[in-house]
Amino acid sequence: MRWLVIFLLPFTLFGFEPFFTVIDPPKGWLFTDPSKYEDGVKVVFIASDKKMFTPSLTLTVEHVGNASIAQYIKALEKIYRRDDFQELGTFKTSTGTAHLFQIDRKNQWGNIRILQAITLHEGFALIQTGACLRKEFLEVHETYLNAFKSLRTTSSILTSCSDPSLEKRLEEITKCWRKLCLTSKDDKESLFTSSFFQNNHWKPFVNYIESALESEGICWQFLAVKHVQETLLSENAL
Amino acid sequence: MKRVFAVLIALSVTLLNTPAYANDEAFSECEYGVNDGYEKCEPLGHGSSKASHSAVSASMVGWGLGLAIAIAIVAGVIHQSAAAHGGSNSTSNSSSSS
Repeated sequence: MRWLVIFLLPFTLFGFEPFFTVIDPPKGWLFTDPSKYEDGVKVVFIASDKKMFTPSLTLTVEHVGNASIAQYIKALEKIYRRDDFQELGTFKTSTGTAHLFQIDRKNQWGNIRILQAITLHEGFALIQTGACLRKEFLEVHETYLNAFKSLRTTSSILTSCSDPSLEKRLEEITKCWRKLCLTSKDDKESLFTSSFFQNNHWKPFVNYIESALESEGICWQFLAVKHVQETLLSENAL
Repeated sequence: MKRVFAVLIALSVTLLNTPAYANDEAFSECEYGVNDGYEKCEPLGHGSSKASHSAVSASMVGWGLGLAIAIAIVAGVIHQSAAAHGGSNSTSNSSSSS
């Protein structure tokens, strides 16, 4: 519950994808504090909170418009020109072909290896990134690849969830949100954080996702709540 | 002693916030142009760079906790050191007054 409460506090409005993306994180990995995520970063996991430098996994979405993968790779070569950047190949996910990159970099922690899988989908780059110490790479690379392969997108959260009650809940909250937007002159962020909307609509909705849809997994629950929040704030509709 | 620790902590915070990699070359018009129409006008590949940065930052969470513990220990040592000095001063004052 704590991560959801933290998540409800500060947020920013940014370019937002019209589809729902989810991954299966490695078992036992931990969520990091969502209030510290940068724009576009959907979720971040770490392997442990007890190590000085622990393996991590992030899911990030970038709007790329009509850019092709060739253009994107060219941009990456430029961005990582000071690192040891390599394209490792491709693999299939249910969303499409993912391109795998390896970035080796040296900093004050030693040699760091970043493994990144990028899939272009409907004008967005779905970026899965794993970072670890190079000496630990062999222990975690399989874990990263399995998580990368689990990437899936659906046109909405409704099509990613089998529970029929979700549709009704989404309809209810959308209806209330639209009504609130029409009757108030406040901006959307203020309306969203208002105690009226939070206590009467948003928190009950989050509680519903947490309790009734537990079977979907904690990552799905987290990303679903985030997706609904971003959808409400961006276009009033789901 | 306290001042030395304060300077050391300030220096470490400043230095460690400095990016370990440079990314100072401007993107070409073409790279911005690909994202034409996108309100934030971020260069292509920006998300990948941000993702790498976020992943490395997240990996360092243990280091952040370690630093917090180190600061707490240092603060404790300073506090004890100050208390000991205060104690010895009061002892010498009392012995000199007697």
